[in-house]
This record gives sequence, C-alpha cells and structure tokens, in this order.
Amino acid sequence: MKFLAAVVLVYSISSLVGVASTERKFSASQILKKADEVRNPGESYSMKVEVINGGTSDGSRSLFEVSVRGNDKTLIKTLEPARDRGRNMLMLKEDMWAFIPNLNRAVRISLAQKLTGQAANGDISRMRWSGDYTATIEGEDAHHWILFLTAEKKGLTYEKLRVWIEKGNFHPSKAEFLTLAGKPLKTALYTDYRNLAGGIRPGTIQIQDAIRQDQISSIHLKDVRIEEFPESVFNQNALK
Amino acid sequence: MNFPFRGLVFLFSLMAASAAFSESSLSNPTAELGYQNSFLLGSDSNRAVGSNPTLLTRSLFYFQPAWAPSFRIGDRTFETQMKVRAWLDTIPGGFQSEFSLRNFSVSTAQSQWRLVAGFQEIVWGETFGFPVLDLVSPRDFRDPLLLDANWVRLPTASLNAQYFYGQTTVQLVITPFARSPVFPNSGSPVDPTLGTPGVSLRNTSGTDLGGIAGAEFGGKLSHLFSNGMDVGLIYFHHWNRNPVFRISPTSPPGTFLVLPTEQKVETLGFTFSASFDSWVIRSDQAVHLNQPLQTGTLGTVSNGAQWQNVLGADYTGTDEWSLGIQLQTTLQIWDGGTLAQKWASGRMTKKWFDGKVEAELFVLSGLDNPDLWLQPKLTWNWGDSWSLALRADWIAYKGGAPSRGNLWIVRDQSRLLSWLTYKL
Repeated sequence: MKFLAAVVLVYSISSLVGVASTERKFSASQILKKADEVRNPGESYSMKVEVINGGTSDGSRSLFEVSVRGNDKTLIKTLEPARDRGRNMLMLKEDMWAFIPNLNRAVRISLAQKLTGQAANGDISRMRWSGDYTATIEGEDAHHWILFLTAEKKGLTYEKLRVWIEKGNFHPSKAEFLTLAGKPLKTALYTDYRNLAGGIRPGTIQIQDAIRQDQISSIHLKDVRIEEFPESVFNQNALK
Repeated sequence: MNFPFRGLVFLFSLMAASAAFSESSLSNPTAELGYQNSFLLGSDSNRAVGSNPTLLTRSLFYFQPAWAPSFRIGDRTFETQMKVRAWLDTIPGGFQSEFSLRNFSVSTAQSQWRLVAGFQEIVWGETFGFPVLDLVSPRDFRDPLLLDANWVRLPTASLNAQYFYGQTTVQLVITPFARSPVFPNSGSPVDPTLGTPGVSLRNTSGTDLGGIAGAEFGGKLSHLFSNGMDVGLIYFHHWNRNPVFRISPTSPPGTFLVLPTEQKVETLGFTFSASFDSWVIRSDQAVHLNQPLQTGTLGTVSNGAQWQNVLGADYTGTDEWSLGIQLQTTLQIWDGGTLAQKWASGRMTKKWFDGKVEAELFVLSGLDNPDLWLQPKLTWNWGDSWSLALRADWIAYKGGAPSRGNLWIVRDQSRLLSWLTYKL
C-alpha cells in the first residue's frame, strides 16, 4: 500500500513538474504565435464580420465581408447597413484606404480610426499580433499567461496591449488595449469558442470602452473559410 | 416611350440576358432612390432661372439601380458591373428627364493582373475640391457647385488594364472614342453669356471629338514604399478637361456664339500620399501642355501650359472628427502672358450618435483672387437606408476681374440644397 502511495505521489509530482516544464518551455513570442494560429485559420481566408453596437447607442448593426491574406493585406467590404454600402476599406501593411462613395475614390485612413461603435478598423483588418508586437510574459495565473505587447511598428491600431492567453490551448480570453502611456483605452473579451474553418476559434470579440463602460461593441465572426485570392483583390481599384 | 423608360427597358433586358449566363444570377442588386431640391439665393436679375432650370435649380427625383452579376467561361470568372441613373426634374409647365449609363463593364483577373473593359469611371489623384489629376473621366459642368464626384464625373468606354508586381502597379488606359464634358445649357443659371446682349451660348451635347482619331490614352505607374509613401506617375493624352469658351460671330451680324474649346492636351502628373499616425500628407501635381486657357474676358482663348499643384494634409481625431486642409496653386503660361493664382481650402467633418448625425464644412478661398465658397452640410442618417442632407453653397465673389479665380461663372449663385436618399 505504501509502495502504491509512493508510486502515485511520484507520478503526480512528476506530472505536475512535467506540465510546469511544458508551460515554461514556451517563450512569449511562441505563445503569441500560437494564439494567432487560434484566431486565424490560415494564411489566406475570408469571413463575414457582424458588429453590433450596444450600450447607450441603439444597437446599430453592421455587416462586413473581410478577405485576409497574411498579416498585411485585407479587403473589407461593407454589406450592411445599406446606406454605408460601398464604404469599403483596404489594408496594405500598416496603410489603409477607405472608398468614399460620393467622391467615388479612395482616401487614406488609419488602422486606429473608428470603424463603428468601439471597433477600430484594425480590429477586423489585422487579426495577428505576432510580427507587429514584441511580447514579454508579464505574469501568469493558474489558467493564463499574461503577455505585455509593445508595437514594433508605427501606425498600428494600438501602441500597447495586455493579453490573457489560456494555458494548454492558447486561446486568447481577454485583452486590454492601452495608450502609449499605458492607460487602458478598451477591453476585449474573446468568447463563444466554436469550430470555425477547421479549428476551435473565438466566434465573438466583445470590446468595451475603458472609461464609458456602457459603450460596448460585439464583433461576431461568421462563415470563416480558407480561400485564395489573386493579387488584384488587394488593390485600391478593388475598393469600388 | 420616352428615352429614360427605353433606357431602363434596355438595361433590364441586358441584365436578364446576363443573368441567364450568370453564375450567381442577379447577385448583389442594389438601388438608390433620391430626391434633390435646390433654391438659388441672391441671384441677380441677369441670372434669373427663367423657364429653363437645370441641375443647379432642381427639384428632381432619381432612381439608380446597380447590379454586379458574375459568370464563368471555362475556368475564368468574369464580373460585370451595371449601373444606370434615371432622373425626372420638375419644371414649370412640365418636366425634363435624363437617363445615363453610369457603369457597364466586365472585368476579369488573374493573380498578377486585372482587365476591365466597358463603360466605367477611372479615378486618379488624391485631392478634393478641384481634383487636378482626375483626368480620365470628363465632367458634367451643369452644376459647378456639386462636389459629389459620383454625380459629376462622366464614365467613359475604356479599356483599363492593371499589372501588379509586389507593391508596384502599372495601369494602362485607352478610351477609343473620347467623350466630351457636359457644359451648361444656353439660358441656364450658369450660362456664362447671360446678361451680355448679342452673345449666346451654343448648346453642345454630343460634340464630335474625331472618332478613333480622337482617342485618349495613357497610364499610371504607382508604388507603395515600405515607409507607407504611395507614389504615382501619370501620363495622359486627352482632350482638355478645363471649361474654356471661345467666341464666334454668327448671323445676324453683330451677334456672337460662345462655344466650348476642345483640343488635345498632354498631361504629366505626379501624386503621392503618406500617413503619419493620425495625419495624412498628400499632393497632386499636373503639367498640361498645349492646354487651351481662358485669358482675359470670356471668348479670349490662348494656347499654353498650365502647372497645377495641390498640397494637402488630413487629420483624423479620435472622437469622430476629421480635418483636411489644402493649398492649391496654378501657373498658366502662354504667348504674351502668365497668370499665377493660389487658393486655400479646408474641410472639417464631425459625427455624432454613432454616425447618425454628420456635420461638414467646406471652405475655399482665393489667396490672390476673389473666390470665396462656403459649403456647410448637415446629414441625418436614420434606419439602415435613409439619409437626409441639408447643404448650403454660399458664393461670395470678392470682386475683381471676372476672369480671375475659378468661381466667376457662379458668382451670386448661392443656394440651398436638400437631398433625400433611400438605399436598397
């Protein structure tokens, strides 16, 4: 009996040590890369993105068709509401253009600019952190790594982020979007994990203003599918 | 059966035919219904509306359907774009109507190239107000106060080929049968001859531009640098896009006709934009060679060169507001003279209630000429489809020689415009 208890104890300790060593062996950048793999089904994909603004606004809804290639090419087509149809956007690297229907031409905008509600253009055009941000492990608890991300480039949506990533499955669960001075701008919750394009991914991102906490937007990802696009899709002339 | 109705029947037939071959049937049909109403304010007696109101003084209803069906031939997908506009303008004792084809093109693409053939708008340049490089499409000058390029740009039947190589794009454009601009009608509020005894404007719809010999062609080479600077070089061989009028004697003796001058021009252009956080810096430059120039009074035309330069900056604030400022200069050189002019313009926008209410103010002022134009605009968006915009155009021509500045033709033509739209 004592022998059995000793075996169980040794096994348990070794298992715990094993888990701990497994967790420790990931660097911050590796964790970030794996979190990006959770959020993105592949190098090239399309999806429908529904944004519902809650809080004090009256629940306005927008629907976008998003075509993504890598982390530096995204085309966003506005499908709804009808009056905004044609206000399409193109992201190339950190540069972004929006098509203005009444001018019938594209003008430059920034990733940080508001798309609708609490959602910025970059919140749906740029779905990868790796390559854009330098990550450090700021802390961890029983279930999460807490990573602190600092922008490596100018013109990104946010200067700094704090991201909570679940141990074991690398699911992002929460992010704080911060100013350059480190003050919180918005909080994002990654929820509704379900099967999307062959993997378990967050189906909803809820973004809340850090100061006016009744200002909330929910980003719902739908119809995510891996798809190849020709180069001509990611061109200003495709914005019409 | 009037022309707009016949046009719509024709378009529906085309669409039905395309649907028969279409992969996605009548995919993505959209439409815009609208009503525009404008009142002229403070016009002098020589510029009374009379019985021939045009786009400047309108009370018009329009319908603008669009379709984008696609079809396949073998392995290749073709996307078509079709859009028409039909409008009905009520005038005392009746109405006038117009049907215009806004887009009827087919495009196909492979990984590195895209080809668009047919009736289309091709847009170049980075500036607002007076777009100096937006040369491929001629303009409708019947309402010189309407800045909505979607309304005043005239599509052309062109072949538009683009080749993509990394961040470099090469674009070639050919318009085999050029299209002339649409000029104000004789007797309309912007007829430049109003109030001048013995002189009248010739209506010029459908000017012959020489068939295939009058073809327009050119291209654009653009590159997006890794620091975010977008640079483009342009060459275009085209008919002049600036409205220039010459005077010609007619019968009876002592009377004169004023006609638009149309001649071939070579344009070289340079455009760039770059973003720095919330700021975007942009510039368009164009040199037009063999450009007809309105020198002196109406009817005096000289040939020469014109250099147009616009330098602008846009700032986007975090709280739904933006500001754009521009400095525009132009230098005209012809045998016997030069003329240099400068303007400053700005546009400020602000949105409230999650974009439901938008306010915009556009101001243009001549720095060394009498132009002054203020355009405040307030837009109310409700539901998913409705918008109501109230806009004023206040033209305060500051005096001076009438040939100076760009707004002399609309001096004293301040107006109020309301515009209701419903999008399906």
